[in-house]
Amino acid sequence: MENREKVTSLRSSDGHIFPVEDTVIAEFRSIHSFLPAAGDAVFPISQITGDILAKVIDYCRKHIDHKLNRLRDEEITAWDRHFVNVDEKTLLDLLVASHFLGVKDLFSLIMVSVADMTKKKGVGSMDQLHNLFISNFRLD
Amino acid sequence: MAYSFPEEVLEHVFSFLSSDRDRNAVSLVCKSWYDIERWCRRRVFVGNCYAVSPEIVIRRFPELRAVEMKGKPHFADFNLVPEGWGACAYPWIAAMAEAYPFLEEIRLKRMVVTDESLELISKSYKNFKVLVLTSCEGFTTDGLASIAANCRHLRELDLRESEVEDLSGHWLSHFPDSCTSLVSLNMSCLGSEVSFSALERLVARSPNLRTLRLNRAVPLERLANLIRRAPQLVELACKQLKALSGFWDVVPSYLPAMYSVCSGITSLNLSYAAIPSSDLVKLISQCQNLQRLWVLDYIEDSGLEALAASCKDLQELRVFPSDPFGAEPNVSLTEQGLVSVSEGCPKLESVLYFCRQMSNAALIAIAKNRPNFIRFRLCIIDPQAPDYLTLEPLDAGFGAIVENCKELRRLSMTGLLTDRVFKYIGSHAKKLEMLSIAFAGDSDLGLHHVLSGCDSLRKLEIRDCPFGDKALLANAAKLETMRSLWMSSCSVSFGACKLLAQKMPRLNVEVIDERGPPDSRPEDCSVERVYVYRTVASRRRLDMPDFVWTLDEDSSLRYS
Repeated sequence: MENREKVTSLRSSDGHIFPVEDTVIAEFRSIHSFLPAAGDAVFPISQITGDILAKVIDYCRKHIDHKLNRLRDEEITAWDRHFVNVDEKTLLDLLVASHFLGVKDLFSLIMVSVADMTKKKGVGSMDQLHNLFISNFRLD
Repeated sequence: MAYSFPEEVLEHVFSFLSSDRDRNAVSLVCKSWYDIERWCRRRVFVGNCYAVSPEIVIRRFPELRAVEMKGKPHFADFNLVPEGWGACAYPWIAAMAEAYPFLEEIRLKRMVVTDESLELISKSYKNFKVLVLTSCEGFTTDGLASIAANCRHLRELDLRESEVEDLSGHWLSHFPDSCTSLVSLNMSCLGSEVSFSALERLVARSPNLRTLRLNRAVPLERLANLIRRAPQLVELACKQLKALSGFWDVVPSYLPAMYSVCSGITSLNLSYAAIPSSDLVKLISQCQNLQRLWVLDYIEDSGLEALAASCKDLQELRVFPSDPFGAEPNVSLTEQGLVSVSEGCPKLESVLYFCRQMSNAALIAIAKNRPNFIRFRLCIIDPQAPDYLTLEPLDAGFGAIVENCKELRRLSMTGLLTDRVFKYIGSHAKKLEMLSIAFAGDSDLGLHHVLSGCDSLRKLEIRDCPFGDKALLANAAKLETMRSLWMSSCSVSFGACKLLAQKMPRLNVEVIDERGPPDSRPEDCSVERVYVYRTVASRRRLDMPDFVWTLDEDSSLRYS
């Protein structure tokens, strides 16, 4: 409505454009100081695909709502739990994305989930996990 | 474009892995994971101080904060390991003092620790927090004084069951007034009186003190005073509570304080206290949150029944004998007490029970009541006692234990036992990690069942059993999957020991014999004791005494 928030546009590696409010941009601690002040410029994030970037933006919006007391503690905890309930590849992509963008809380949340993923696994299944970790990061 | 997975992200992920198993698995995936993991490992447990050398540990894990280590084999507790055998902590302490300036915790069990080592510990680590010495020996109260004086952030000082040369009680006064960090203090093994006022002041300025274990000379009124000053205590133990029978009458004004403390107590060690059953029951029935109870057999069957009725959270019970060498029983404690507790305490998972009689029926009932046992150690005073009702061996009873308790990790047996019990153990005890056998079995077949059947076996200790060379040599490869094997007063020949050492280069086969060099006797002569353990350190340890022989690759005898 009357909320005249500034909006910056981000473009994912696969070409999707995401208009993002400044409050969310502020959560991207590693890169927000590099972003141009609004306007029509579109900022490319070439390390992150659209689906993952969308999720990270979603996370930030939800947690901003929580900080503004629009969401209760139990609600955000449940939402977080649902958020990390994804397949291993997505989880790892989210881990790298949150690290790249500098979203600390999301990074910690996912790290714990990834650690849980590695617990109690025999060496054989560690190998598969390892492939997942490494296969994401091919040298082009 | 080039992008590589940031190593620090992986390191962060690994920092959430606390189990050694998980970390070991992670380090086997590839070289870079091995490297990342080893730099961020903070805790290490060395189950046998001779399985690896300090240099190897330090080289692999450069940033440790906590080290836990064990030395002598368990049967050392029963005086089966001669004095001077080894397990000196000093080489480790000295190496770690140089390599780990930020070390915070040292836990040692069955090792020889000198005052020199204690002083080195107290002076080398700025942030030292935890010292636990279980069943250790070789140090005096002077060593403790260094620890008290120099470790400014000490949280835990625990000397459980250690043999300390008691030069004076003044060491306690060496804790500076600025020391307020104590969480746990266990000095129950010390003999002499400590300055009680120093103790009171220490307790008063330690707001985080949760566990206090005192030595014997504690007058009752002062004990009550102490309890009043430390309402946050959850664990309390005294060696000799004097005249507890008079306690409830004589100090009624302290009773409210006692009661409020009792409801918080989760662990009670009265294993040195000669308290009659009725008083024990009064005390225990106040401690409804009790999880662990160590007590003498004065508690009797009636006391155990009361325990079963009031302490529904009980997880561990140890009942020690008050008069193990007496010909006749001095108390009315039988197998019935254990049966009651197994019936009444649904969370009971760990038992050590000394008694004078047992029956297969009781064992079968216990097994059916408590399939959740993890540790079951039964010590019948007469080690070859049969089922007292039927005079049969106790094979069926212990068989029921291993068959029903599928999570059993530790088992210790006594009584008349044949090879049949080992057949049951080999078939059913798939999670068993530690087995102690004495005066049991008929032939090598017994040992063979255990070595070939128990998939998770890590420690096997045997004394006075008719086990010889065949089972040992046939299962040589198994021994490399275990931490150690101890056999004393069995029928293992020197020739077999040599053969075993030849076959298995990564095992250290120690022949411990106080009768002189084994080659001065025929090769088929049985050795007094043999201790076999896997090792990546050199097979010939430098601190071997003259009654230990270990065999080199060319199977020539090596002496110290």
